Amino acid sequence: MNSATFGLLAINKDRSGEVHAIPLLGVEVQADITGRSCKVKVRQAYKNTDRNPVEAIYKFPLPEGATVCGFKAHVGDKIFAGKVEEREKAFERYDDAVMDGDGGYLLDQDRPNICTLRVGNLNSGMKAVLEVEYVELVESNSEEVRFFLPTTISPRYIPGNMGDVNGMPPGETVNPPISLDFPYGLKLRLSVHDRDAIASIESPSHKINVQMSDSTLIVELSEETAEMDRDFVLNIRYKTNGVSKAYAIQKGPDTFYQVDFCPQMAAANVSGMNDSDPVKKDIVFLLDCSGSMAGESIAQAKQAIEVFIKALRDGVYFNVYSFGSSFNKVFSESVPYSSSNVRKALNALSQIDADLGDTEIMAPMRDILQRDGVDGHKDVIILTDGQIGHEEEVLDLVNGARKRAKIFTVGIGYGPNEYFFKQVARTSGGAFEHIAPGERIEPKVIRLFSKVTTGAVTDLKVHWPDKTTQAPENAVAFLGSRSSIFGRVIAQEHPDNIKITGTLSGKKQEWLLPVNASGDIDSATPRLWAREKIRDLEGSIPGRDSSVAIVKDKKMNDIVRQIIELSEEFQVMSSKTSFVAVEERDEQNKTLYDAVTLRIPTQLTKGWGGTGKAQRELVRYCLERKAVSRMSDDIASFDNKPLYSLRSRDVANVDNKIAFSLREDDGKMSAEEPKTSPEKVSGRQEDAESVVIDLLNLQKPDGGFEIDDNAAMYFDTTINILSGIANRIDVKRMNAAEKFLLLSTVLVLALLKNKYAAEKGLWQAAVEKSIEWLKDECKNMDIMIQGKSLEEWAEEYVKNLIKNSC
Amino acid sequence: MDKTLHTIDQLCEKTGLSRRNIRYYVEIGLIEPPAGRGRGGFYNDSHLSTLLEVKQLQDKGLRLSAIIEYLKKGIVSEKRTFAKAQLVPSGREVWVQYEIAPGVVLSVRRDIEEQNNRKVSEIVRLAKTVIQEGE
Repeated sequence: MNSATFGLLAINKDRSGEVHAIPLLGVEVQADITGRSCKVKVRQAYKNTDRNPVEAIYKFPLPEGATVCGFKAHVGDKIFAGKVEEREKAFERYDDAVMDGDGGYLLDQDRPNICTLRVGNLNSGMKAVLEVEYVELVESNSEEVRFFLPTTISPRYIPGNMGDVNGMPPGETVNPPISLDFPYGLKLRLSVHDRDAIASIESPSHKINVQMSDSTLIVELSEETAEMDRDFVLNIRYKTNGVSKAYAIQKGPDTFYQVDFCPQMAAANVSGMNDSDPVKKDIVFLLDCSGSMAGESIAQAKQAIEVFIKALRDGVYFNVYSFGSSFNKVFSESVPYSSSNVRKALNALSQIDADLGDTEIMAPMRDILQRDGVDGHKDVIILTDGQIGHEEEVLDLVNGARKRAKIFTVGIGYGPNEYFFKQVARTSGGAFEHIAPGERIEPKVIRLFSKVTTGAVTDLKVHWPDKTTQAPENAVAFLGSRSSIFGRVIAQEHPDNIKITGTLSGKKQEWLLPVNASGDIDSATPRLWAREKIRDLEGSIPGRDSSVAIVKDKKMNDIVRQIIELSEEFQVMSSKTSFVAVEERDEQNKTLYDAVTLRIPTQLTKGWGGTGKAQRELVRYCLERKAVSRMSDDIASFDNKPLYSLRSRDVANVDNKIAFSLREDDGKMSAEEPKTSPEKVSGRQEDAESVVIDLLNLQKPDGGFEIDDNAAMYFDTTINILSGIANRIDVKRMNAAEKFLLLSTVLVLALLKNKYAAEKGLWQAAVEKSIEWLKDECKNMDIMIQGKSLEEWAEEYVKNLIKNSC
Repeated sequence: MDKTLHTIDQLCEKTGLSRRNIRYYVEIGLIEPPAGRGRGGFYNDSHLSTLLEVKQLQDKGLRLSAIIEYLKKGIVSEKRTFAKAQLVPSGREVWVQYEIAPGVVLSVRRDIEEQNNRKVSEIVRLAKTVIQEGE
């Protein structure tokens, strides 16, 4: 929790004290998804039910990877299409239109994942539907494609020393006003094409209906409209994956390339650490303990760290930092991996909570990065919801330390700041994972872990035709994960193949990708290339905020000019360009009076700041007093700004649908979170995964597995029986407990290998660690039980178990 | 009474501020709205001089919040954050002071403050809410 919570409520009064209704009726999202390629239309319906003309300002989120390429205003039966222009010029055009009494529509980018839309001169009774179109290549690891749609902007922490952004307070750019009551909700219709290629579809965030229509799956929300208080996540599992592809698209004099690279290795140590790897690992965990992480988020993060730590091995150095307004670390320097260090770390971890206040991430980051890692390199794993407004400052720091440290991030919560946790990882050559509430943590952590340990494809080079401009400039690829690299060259033909070279796990590798010519004239590839190129340019502008248009440095001016040119050429929005549309009106429809400016509030992200007692008290206090304040602490003294609020009558009527469910109890109000459970459509897959995860949780820090009461059921037995059997193991130097551990371990290994071979990706690292432990324990002797070797006995036991259960 | 009138474009040119900024400053009440019909109205020299002053202070590195305070009260003070609470020696003890509002301060003995960082932060935040909503 931080000072931004002052803005929990806002008053919907204008300067004269008049109350206005929220002019946003609803948001409808329609998307076409083919593989990783998404074309999405976000439609917002505005209606002015007031007697005054209104200027509506709506700050809303988009996926940070979105390339915004269309903006239209539907007014009556006419459509006014927007064009991309330099940001301030676009504002002037909008402003001129509004001054003339015409309709003006403006779309600005505040962050790659935050947009502000202005609807100017909405006359009384008038309706307008604003449509924002974007294309996106969504992420995928080899198995799954993830379609992700944020619906609300969580309050961002603005550090006290953050300067104004081009004359505006920073909170102004990223924090919309927040309310607890909404007349508007979300409708969704996703068309997922190529039905036959799909193995499963599920959403951990919302209840969905899936219908079939020809070769398309239509996904809609189960409820007619949904609250806009959390991200929408759709996971699509395809039948065949992991194939690298290259495409060439002809557009005018240029050829655009899209290389979808998913590096695989022929035969190698796929996960876990390479034993001959000379580089020692120094892994530092950085856990966000600011107020916004309270509740489910911090619980998930702590669990993730625990899984990580248990997977580490001898030779690794590690440390755990936690931060909020200040920061703490478990050890003063990174320590070697050992049972006692792990115990200390897990102990400290269990006492950590999200009670450290604000999200002052720079201090711990500096502390971590200024210490040299073992062997001169560090891997930093940040677990956070990313709710900060000073992303650029952190990115600058990380960029500067690029050669010495790789940052991996785990984005957590109902509405994490995607731009932050993804861009930080990208900038440093690391990787990210996103864990939506209700999703299993372990598979993602293990996946990220194998990226940390096996590392990226280094010295990655795409051998393009001569004079091709590559975007992004610094491409990063990880084993089993898909990255897209684009190229543009003035040419009319393309080669049959494109070669990629790089080093993976210490070995030089070469991949040859056949190039497919795409006849799709509507192909998004040229725009995607442009957006990546723009991103590179935006990232090369040093300084606090890349939306600063006024720059004095000639070099920076040049970069800004390039961004604007590319943006206008390809008609894609950027930090320096906006979409503007003008609706010219007849004299009788022109707006005569000054329109009232109304900022549309967004819902507080579900689970934000937890439901701790202090948080509830603050909400209650604000509701009772109808406290007026702004999201940005900077202008707290200005209370005549029109905002939105709840009247006390409304408070009593607020029901279960909102983030906090309020009850009146003996005159006191208390709040509790409504319980939701994720809805999964897939069946058998989940069962096996659950069992494997249960088994993995039995692993001790040094590698052995210890079966407990619960796990004994997987072996169709009890601990007592197993103990009895363990006592018959023929090893004099071991006591009963050690024998039990030995038996447990071989049993678990046998079960995993024989029954859960399909889930190998999940357990391979842990098993390798266990095998090493076993070797040590057995001291190269064959340990016997009932005349057989332990392994043999376990194999037989498990095979019988499987046979009998079928 | 000064009769010189300026359009918004002229104002932008003379002050070096963008239209976006000027509209925003009107919205937050830093300057009065222009006279005349809607945004097409005209600004006078008093608008111009206020904006010139704002620009000057911005160029000196002041943030808007500080500029507003200055224009209101004639004092320049940068907003204090929790992290920058003052340490005040008092006899043999050290106390930490948090400024809730001008003239209102919360003093906590340092050892107590260190052990109850979260509670103290919350007290300060709640106190600020009380004071600000009363305005």
